[in-house]
Amino acid sequence: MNEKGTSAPGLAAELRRAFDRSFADAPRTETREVVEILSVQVSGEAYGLRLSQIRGLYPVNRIAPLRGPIPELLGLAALRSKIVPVYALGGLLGHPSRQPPQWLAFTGAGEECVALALDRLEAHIRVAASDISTDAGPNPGRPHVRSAARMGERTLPLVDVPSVLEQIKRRIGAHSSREE
Amino acid sequence: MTRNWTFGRKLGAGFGVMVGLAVAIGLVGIVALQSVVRSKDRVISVNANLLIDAAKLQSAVNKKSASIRGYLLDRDDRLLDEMREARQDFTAAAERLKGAVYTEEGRRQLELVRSAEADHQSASEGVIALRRSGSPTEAVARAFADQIMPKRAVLGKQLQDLVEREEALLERARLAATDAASRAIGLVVLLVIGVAVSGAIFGVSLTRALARQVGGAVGQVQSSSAELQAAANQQAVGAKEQATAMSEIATTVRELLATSRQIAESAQRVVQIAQETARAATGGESTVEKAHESIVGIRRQVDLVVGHMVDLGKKSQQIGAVVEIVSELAEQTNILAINAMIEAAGAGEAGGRFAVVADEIRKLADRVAGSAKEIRTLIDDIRAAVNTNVMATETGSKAVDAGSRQFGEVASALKQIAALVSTTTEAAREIELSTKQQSSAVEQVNLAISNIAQATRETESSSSQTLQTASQLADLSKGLLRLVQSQEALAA
Repeated sequence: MNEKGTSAPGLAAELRRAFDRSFADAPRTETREVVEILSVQVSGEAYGLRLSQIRGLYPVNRIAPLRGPIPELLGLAALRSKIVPVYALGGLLGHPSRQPPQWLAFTGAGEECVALALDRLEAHIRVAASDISTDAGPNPGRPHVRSAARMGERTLPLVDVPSVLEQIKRRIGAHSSREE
Repeated sequence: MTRNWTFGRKLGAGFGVMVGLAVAIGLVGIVALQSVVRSKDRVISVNANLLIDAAKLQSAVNKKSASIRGYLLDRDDRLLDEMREARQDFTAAAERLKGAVYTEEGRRQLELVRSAEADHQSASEGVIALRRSGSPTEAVARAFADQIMPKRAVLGKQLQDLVEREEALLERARLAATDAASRAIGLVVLLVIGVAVSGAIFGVSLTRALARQVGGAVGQVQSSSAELQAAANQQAVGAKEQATAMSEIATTVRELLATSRQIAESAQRVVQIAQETARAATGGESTVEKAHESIVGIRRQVDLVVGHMVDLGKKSQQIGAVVEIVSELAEQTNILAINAMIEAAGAGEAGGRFAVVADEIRKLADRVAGSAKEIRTLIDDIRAAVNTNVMATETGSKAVDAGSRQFGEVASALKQIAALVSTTTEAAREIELSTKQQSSAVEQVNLAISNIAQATRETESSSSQTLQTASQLADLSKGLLRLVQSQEALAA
């Protein structure tokens, strides 16, 4: 008997039934407009990443250290047969993390693919689009946060990944200009 | 040293001294009297006889002279006989004087007298012969005057000297005897005075010693009688208290007697209970033996349980490892589902159904992960429970061991109890017997206490008599003190 009052055999049967039901039920169609969000923790702060803005999520195997033009560059990692630069998302959001990252969010397109280092993966949540609140302007205390997802009493700030990529690109460009 | 002498001894010694002095006085008096007697005897027997003999010599010479003169006148031969008789008296007295005279001067004086008498005799015989021859009277008278008278005068002078000498010696001897008697009298007087002084000193010292010793003794007697009075009072009070205490003791002893009887009855009951306890202890011993065997069996079962628990812990660890794998698989499945959803989202409309499937897979992976988490929690609970159980079982095993040992000790204790109960039974019997003896002894004590109470009453009476006797003794000592000390001393 576990804490929820469900026995282990009952739990296994429930799992089996749910699995079988997923094959037995008719294909579900989402009637409402929803937003897929990945809840993560960066430097002890909870943030949300839209699944639509990343291309994959991978556990950190190895990051080859590399000195780059901006201090948030942690190094290089191999993802999907590509060598991509890894940037600390906490540093880019204004509060650098002191612990080693556990997850990498693969994003970008083409030659501009990067990996954003995350401290912890909380959950995958699905929020109705009506529960997404958009902010009108930039917030100096929270850069790259343009919107937030309401989940009952809790509000999860959503990181605008294209904005982060744009900042990286801009800072690298500025650095190159200074070198020239 | 004489301070320690008894009064009788001192009195005896004083009388001894006095008797000694009296004897000395007597001896000295006897010696003095003897000396006086000897002196007087000497005066009488020697000097007086010498004087008498000298007087006799003088008388014989006078008689002879008278006879010679008569013959010369009458020519009577009887006068010659008287002359010869007188001469014999003279010779006899002279011989006695010769033997009695004790000085050279006396003997020389006596020789002069005898020589003068011989000369006188010779002259007288010549004249007598002349008369006898018938010579004339005138011739005879002249011859008498020429021949006899000078010799007679010499003889008379010698005799007178002898008599005077003897008289002087007699007077001297008399004076010497008188001096000796006076010395003896003086000596006796001195001795009498000494004895009188000694007697006075002895009497005074004896009186003082008597007063001191008897007074001291009487003082001690008074003090002792006072102490005796106090002691008698205390004894009387103590006797009364003792009588009261004896009464209380008698009451207590009676209670003790009743208690002893109760103890004897209790001891009998203890004997019965001890016998029953011995039987119970014997039964308990076999029961404990069986319980010990059961505990040994429990011990074996506990060892098995411990072994099973250890196996269960190992299995739980294995299950935990498998659950870890399942959890990792669920997590990877979840990641795959998330990535599938990301891909589906990138696939646009065509990926919608794929996204649903991927979401189902993700949910399933979430639930698997949750279940794995729950299973891990359960396994942790199981391992904790197993550990607790193992510890509890080990504790139980130790407790069983301890119980086994304790059962052994209980069995041993029961044996000891059985032995002790047997000893207790014997002791209780001895107590019963001793208590009966004690009751008898207490009865004897009760009787003895009654006797003591009687003796205490007699002691009380005796104390009163002692008090009375002490008072009489004090009065007697005061009277005795008045006998040996003056009123002033008594007042002092």
